[in-house]
Formats: sequence, C-alpha cells, structure tokens
Amino acid sequence: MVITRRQLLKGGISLLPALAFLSAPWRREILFASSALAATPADRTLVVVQQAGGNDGLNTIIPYSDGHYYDLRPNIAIPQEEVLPLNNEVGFHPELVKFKTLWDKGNLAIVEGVGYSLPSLSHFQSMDIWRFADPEVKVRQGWLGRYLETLDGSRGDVFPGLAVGRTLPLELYSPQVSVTIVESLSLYQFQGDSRYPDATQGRTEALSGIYDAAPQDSPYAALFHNTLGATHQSSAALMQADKAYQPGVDYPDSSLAGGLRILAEAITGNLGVRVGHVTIGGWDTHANQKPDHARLLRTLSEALYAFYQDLKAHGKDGDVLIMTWSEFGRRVTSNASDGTDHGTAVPVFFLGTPVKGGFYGQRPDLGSLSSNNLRFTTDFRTVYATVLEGWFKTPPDAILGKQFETLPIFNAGMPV
Amino acid sequence: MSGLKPQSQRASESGSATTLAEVLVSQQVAHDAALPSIVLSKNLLDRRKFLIQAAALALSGGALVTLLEACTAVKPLAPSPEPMPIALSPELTPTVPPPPEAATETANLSPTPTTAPMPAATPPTGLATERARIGHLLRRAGFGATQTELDRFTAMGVSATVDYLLNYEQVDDSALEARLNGLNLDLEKLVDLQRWWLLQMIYSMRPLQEKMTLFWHGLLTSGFSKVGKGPYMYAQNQLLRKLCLSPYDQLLKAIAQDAAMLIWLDSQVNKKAAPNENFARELMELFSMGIGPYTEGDVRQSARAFTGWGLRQKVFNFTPEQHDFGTKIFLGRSGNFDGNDIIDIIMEQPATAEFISRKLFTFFAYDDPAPEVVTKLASTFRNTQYSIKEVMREILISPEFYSAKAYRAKIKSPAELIAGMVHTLEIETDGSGLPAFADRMGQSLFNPFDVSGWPGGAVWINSNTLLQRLNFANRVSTARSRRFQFTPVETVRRLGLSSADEVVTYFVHLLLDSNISVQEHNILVAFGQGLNILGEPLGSQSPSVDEKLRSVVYLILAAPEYQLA
Repeated sequence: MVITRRQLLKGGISLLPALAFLSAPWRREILFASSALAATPADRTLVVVQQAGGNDGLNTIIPYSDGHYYDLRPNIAIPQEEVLPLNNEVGFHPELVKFKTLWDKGNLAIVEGVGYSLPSLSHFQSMDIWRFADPEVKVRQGWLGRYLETLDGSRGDVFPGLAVGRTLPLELYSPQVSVTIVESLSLYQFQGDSRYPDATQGRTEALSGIYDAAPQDSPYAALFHNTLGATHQSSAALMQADKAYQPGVDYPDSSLAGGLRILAEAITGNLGVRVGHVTIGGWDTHANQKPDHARLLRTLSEALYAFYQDLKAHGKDGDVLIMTWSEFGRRVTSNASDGTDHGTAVPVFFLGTPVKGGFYGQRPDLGSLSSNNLRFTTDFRTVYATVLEGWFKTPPDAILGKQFETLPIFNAGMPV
Repeated sequence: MSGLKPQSQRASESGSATTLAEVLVSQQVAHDAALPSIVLSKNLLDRRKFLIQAAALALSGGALVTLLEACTAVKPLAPSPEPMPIALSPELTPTVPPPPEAATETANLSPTPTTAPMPAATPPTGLATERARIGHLLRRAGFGATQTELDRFTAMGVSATVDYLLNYEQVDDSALEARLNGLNLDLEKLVDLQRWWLLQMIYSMRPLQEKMTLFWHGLLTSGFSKVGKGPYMYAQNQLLRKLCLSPYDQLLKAIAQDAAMLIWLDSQVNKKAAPNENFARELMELFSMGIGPYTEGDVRQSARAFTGWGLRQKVFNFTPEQHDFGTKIFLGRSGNFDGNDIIDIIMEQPATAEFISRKLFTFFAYDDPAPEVVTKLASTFRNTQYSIKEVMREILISPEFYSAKAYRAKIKSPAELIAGMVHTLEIETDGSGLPAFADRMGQSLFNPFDVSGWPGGAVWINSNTLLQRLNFANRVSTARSRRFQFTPVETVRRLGLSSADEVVTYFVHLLLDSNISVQEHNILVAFGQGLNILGEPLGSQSPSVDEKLRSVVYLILAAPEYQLA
C-alpha cells in the first residue's frame, strides 16, 4: 500500500518521531514537497542514466541491412538473424528485449548520431564536455546544476538533485546547489553503535543539543548548525519514504537496478526530486567485447524496464522522463582483440510515458567515416535543449549559452 | 587502454558504489603491467606482490563496513603505546625550561595509573595556553597529536616544536616504512594509493612533511582520472614530499618535468607546430602569479618555450625537433628561452612571491590575511632565494598564526579529519576502507576536484558529507574489532577516571583543547551519567559503561568544533 501525500501531510510530524527533538527552526520546515497530481513542469523529474566508458552504439542499434557494418567489424558484428528488427534498416541488440517491449508500446525514443565537432577521444575530456555542456571546457558547472539553480528554493524540496553513488556527478554540480548523494539507504542514516542500537536515538538527540549549544560566533557556526538540520531532514525523509515504499515490481539483481530503486523510493515518496542520477560503468569495451557488451545491455534494459514499470504501478510514470548518455561511441572498425577503441557519435535513449517513441536525429552514414569514426549528426546540446525546453519548460539558451534546436520527442497530449 | 579484466567487470557491476575513475583504473591495470620500476621506491613496495594481490581489493560500498572489519591490520593496540621516539638532534632540544603553565599541565596530564586530577571545564580560552597553541600547531602543521605528543611538545614549547617540524629529515621514520612494506599495496590502483598516503599521514613521525605534501597536491595538482597511471601519481607524490620545503624554483622545475604533470596539463602534446598552452597557462595562473599580471601573449610565448617537453619510456624527455628555438618575448624579457628560463623569470615577479605566500598562509592559518601579513612573507620569500622552509617558519611562529582569528578558522578536509582522528586516538589500522570514507566526504586523494585542487572551506560541508563525517566518528568510536580497535575503557582505567565529568574533561582536553561551551560540557556530562559508577568495583559495572564511554567520544568527534582545525 502506497502512502499518499495527503496521508503523509495529515500524519505530519507524528509520522516522523526521529525529528521531534529537533529545535523549532529545523522542525518547522515541511518535509514533503507538494506535488500536483498532473505533471506540471515544476513537478517533473528527469532521471539520468550515465553509461560510463563509451557505449558501442553500432552494436546497440544495429544497421543490419548495411554491408559496411559487417565489413568494418567482422569479428564483433551481431549476425543479421539475431538482431531484433525495429524497421528494415536497423534493429536492437538481441539482449535489448525489454527495450523492444518499450519500443513496441511507443515509450522509447532513440536519438541517433549524437556528438559534437572536433570530438575528444579522452574519457576525461569528453565526459567533461558532456557534463559541462561546453566543448571548450571553459565552463566548470554542470548543465543540470545550472538548471537546479533556477528552481524556486521556497518550495522547500528536500532532494531537488539526488545522485545515487559515492561522489557527485559533475553534470549536477553548481556552487549554488546542494545535491544529495546517496550511496545506499543504510549509509544515509545516522549510524549508531551496532552493539547498542537502542542507544542511537538518545545519542543523536544529544548531538543535536551540542549543535544547538555550540558557540554561534565562529565563522562556520551557522553552516554546521543548518547543515545538521538539513541532514536530519533529508535522512528522515528518505527513511520515511523507504518505510512507505512498496516496489511495484521485482527489481533485477544489479547495482544499476538498486540505484534506480532508491530513485523510485524518493520519487514515489514525493521528496521533490527534480533530477535523479545513476551511473552504470564498464562500457569501455576494448577487448573481447561481445559478452561484456551483451551483459551490460541486458542489465541496462532490464533495470530501466523494471524502474518504468514501478513508476507506472505508483502512477508516477507521467511525471518522469528517463534519459541515457555516454561520453562517446566507439570506433566503427573493430580492433584485433575483438573489441573497439574510443569513437565519436553515440545514440541517446529517452524512455517514459511522456515520450513519443521513434527515431530522432539522423543516422550516421557508415559509407562516410572520418578516421574510421562516425560523423556526428545531432549536437548533444540539442538533446539537452529538448529536455530543458520540452520537459522542464525553461529557456535552454540561458543554461546552454546559446540557442539549439529541439527534438519533438514528447507526446502531444502532455500537459504544459 | 586494454581490455576488460574480471575485476573491472566486478567494479562495474557494483556500479553504484564505483566511481568511473575506479572502473577506468581497473581497466588500466592490465595495460600498464610492464611499467619500469624507476617510479617506485626500491625499498618500499614490491611490484610483483601488488599484481598478485590486485584482484582482492575491488571495494563495493555496501560491503565497506564488513571490509573494514575483515581487512584491517592484525596488529592489536598495544596496551601502553611506546612514547613517540623523537630523534632530536642536540641543537633542537629546548635549551630553556618550558614555561610554568606548560610544565603544570604536563604534570597534570601525565598518564599515571593512580591519580587523575583533571582540570575542571573551563570557559573558552582560545590559544591562551601553551598546550592549546601546541594543539593548534599540530592540527595545522600536522594531523593532530596523541596525548603523549601533546605532553612532549607542550614541554618543548612552540618554538622548539616548530624547529622539530621543519627539520623533519632528522626524525627517524623507519617504523612507517616497515609498516607500509608489510601491506602489499598495489600502486596501480587508486584505492591502494589513497590508503598508502592516508597511512603516511596517520603514522608518519614527520607530520609537517605530510601536511606540506597535501598542500602541494592541492596546488601543483594532477589527477588519476586523466593521468590514468598509478605509478606516475605515486612518483609525483614522492616528488612533492621530497621537495616540500625546498626553494620554490626547484620545486616548480621538477614538477614541470614530472610524468603525471606532463600528462595532466598536456605538455606531452605541446609541439612546435601546434603549441598547447595548458601547462604554460596554469603555470602562471595556478602555480605562481595568479590570474592578471600577464597577457595572453605571455601565455603563448611561454608555451613555445616548453615545446618538446614530453615523456619517453615513462620519464621526462626533451625532443629537440619539437622544440621552438626561436626568440620569445615573455613578461617584458626577450631571448631564446626554454622552460627553465621561463620559471626563473616567473620567480622574479613580485606577484609570485605574494601569490605563494598568500597560498601558504591561507592554507595553514586563515583566509583573507591583511595585505601587510602577505607582504612580509613575500619579502622573506624573495630574501631567502624562494625558500618555502623559511616562509613556513615565519608563518608557524607568527602572532597571526596564534591569534583568535586563526583559532578554529579552517574546516578540516576529509583527509585531515580521518588521519587526525585515527592518529589522535592511536588506532591501529592498515587503512582499508579509509579511502572510501574520504571519497564520501568529498575528497578522493590523487583525484582533485579540478586543476585548482579542492575548493575547501564551506564547500566541504553539505548534508551528505556532514553525515559521512558523523558516521566516520561512529565507526571510529565503536571500533571493537581486533583489527580496528579503539579502547576507551583502557584509557579510563589507566588514568583512573571515575566519573562522567572526569571522562568528558579528559577527552575534551585531548580532542578539543578543553575548549567547548559550558552548555556543551553539561550535555556531555548529563549524557554520560552512567559513567559515574566508574569508581566502583569492576564487577558492579554494566556493559552500558562501554556504550556510554564510546558515545561520549562519538559526541565529541561529531561536534561542530571537531570539524574545525
């Protein structure tokens, strides 16, 4: 049984005994963000899944009717008969069964040939370019961090930015915005003495007393005092959401799925998540690529499928847009160790109920390569502009520095 | 890069706990297996052993606590630790008797089994006593101090202690080397590099050398994320350690030819036909003058002077065919300059002396020093042929360093917090799991936030990082395993503490200079009420004594004052 927002608000503070001891200024803040039933732009969520290492787009969306494909990478090409056809030109990798299901229902959009000019083949540099949305890497703020800056802080949302992992993904970085980073639910709690768990509550209360009683004239006094309050708030809110949360599906056993499950708890718990982030690593397939890539694609598609079904079960699927990205694709020509080296253009996926399924952008031409690499057809900032304008209804040029065209990836019936 | 190895698959499967850097690292391992040994200290670590051990250490965050239990050092805490062996040369021994206040304090705090006349909770005194000044000095110029060290250095006094810290090469640190040798660390792996350095910070008898290395790592920085090779990062760290108090021109010239730096700032692709300005720009903007006192033209001319500097066989190599031997006009001077000439010209600039003096002062003392403070240090810098050692001496004995403005004016970085806590409480550990705690607090050593290191200050504190700091305090205060052990009961018995008030007073003295508000003291004592039976026979003491003792220490380690240096 899912606890609704109304029930939560009726329950108010009494649902949150862990906060009762906080001093009044901390307690006064409302824990759970308001969330309209329809997804108005202010209540929409973007979930970003980073495929770190460089995904081989050509073995993800396979041009199975193009002879170049089989000529250029004979040792790793996916045989025509194994491909899951999407039309008479391209098809999914055979492990993308769950993506095929979403595609057939019209909930999956594929943007092809995404990249930028003068591509960097360094993970480090290309990742920075994507994260900061600046091919010259002069900006040192994430594009989503810049978006989070524009949000109305008075809403009191606990988690406008929520990243699952250990460190901050730099696309969410802004010096003005605090992003919550959750590695696991247990690590986002005030841990106590495992031998005396009953003592934790009293100890944590005493700690709050100390933060109240510490001299307030030192330069950082307010920072520590206020941050401890925010920490209690966000930790308790997440725990509360966890208690209330009933997963609508069985998540697969992968760390990506585990991360998405945390995001689902926060989203279905109405914690005010505007941007969620989770990473799946391992895409840097230089050697013996086929089994590794197959496993990664299966993990990705199954985890995202479960997440989407879970959102549906909670009636949240209309509020959430899911997007994948990877810092580059891979070389069109395979190497001698049955793998692929760093490349350029890469497909981006959009999933969700708001999405109008289909192909977007332009498929790169395998007959017109540049140093064995694809020529990109869609600037990655067009993808970002699509999200900012079409989903968040915020002017993209203010965040991206200039105007980019947008893609019509959203359903016409979507409320604005 | 070479292909995926099983360990990298594991790393990527545990993706939520694995940073991309770690994934990339593990993939790098196989590729670089044939690096020569020149980058490794001959006596410190055996490469072959690392590779054998390589698979064992992929950390998943969920398993972290388990790992800490399972993988930490086997050495149990000695019941009464040997006093710190100080290899002072005669001229460093204090020649004057310590001031009376210090002598009194030392007498009061000597660990004696029978009596423990603890000082009562006192109102905040800042840096009024020699004991408080020594505590402050060792937090800033080191990683905190044990009770034994506090007693010893307080007896020596500030001046002799500063000499001791600066003349670190006279201090025997062989115990540290022996400790690190036994660990079979794999320097190809970021997490092992981080462990290695944290252990240096915790157990080195040369605290200022480690603190200076951390300072330089934040200034003349490079990052594993781009360099990609553990041994290069290790070699750079050893270079910074070796030259940490050297004349600054020597340090800059060495770092300009350091393998990791050559990669980090793209020197190795800086060629005559197409100069890359990355290093030339940061050399002035970040390493010496600060943005402003030079033009874009100076950047371009400087880049020409560094063309042809690159790597061959993993070491610095000059390629004459790639070097621009033409005349350069740089900062108003003209000549056929090479990179070393450029550094010499930069050293002569007044801006350089001011910039480095300010960086050092703000790292060690406080932010935004008055202009005259910086000017004085800058003149020392120029008058001593750019001696970092003399600038540091001046900072560490300056009235500003011991002023109210300096006291608790810095937020401890995660490395300082972790190393300081483990060091001060004399915890035995092999460092497993410590890098992950530092990561979560926002500091991945060897992987700075960006080319300018870590921003520091208030940026260290947000709801997540504060929680991780508190949970680390919990981890330390409740460490009961033989391999990661903190035993406050032993301390209490040894010192004969017999009430909550005495326990609180002792630990607040050790960890917070006896300097907290009366209300905080009262909260701690009230919380520790259960400890008032300590004076009674052992049999009457319940297990809750253990819980209460550890909780009191937790509360002190988690207090806002403890987050400050």
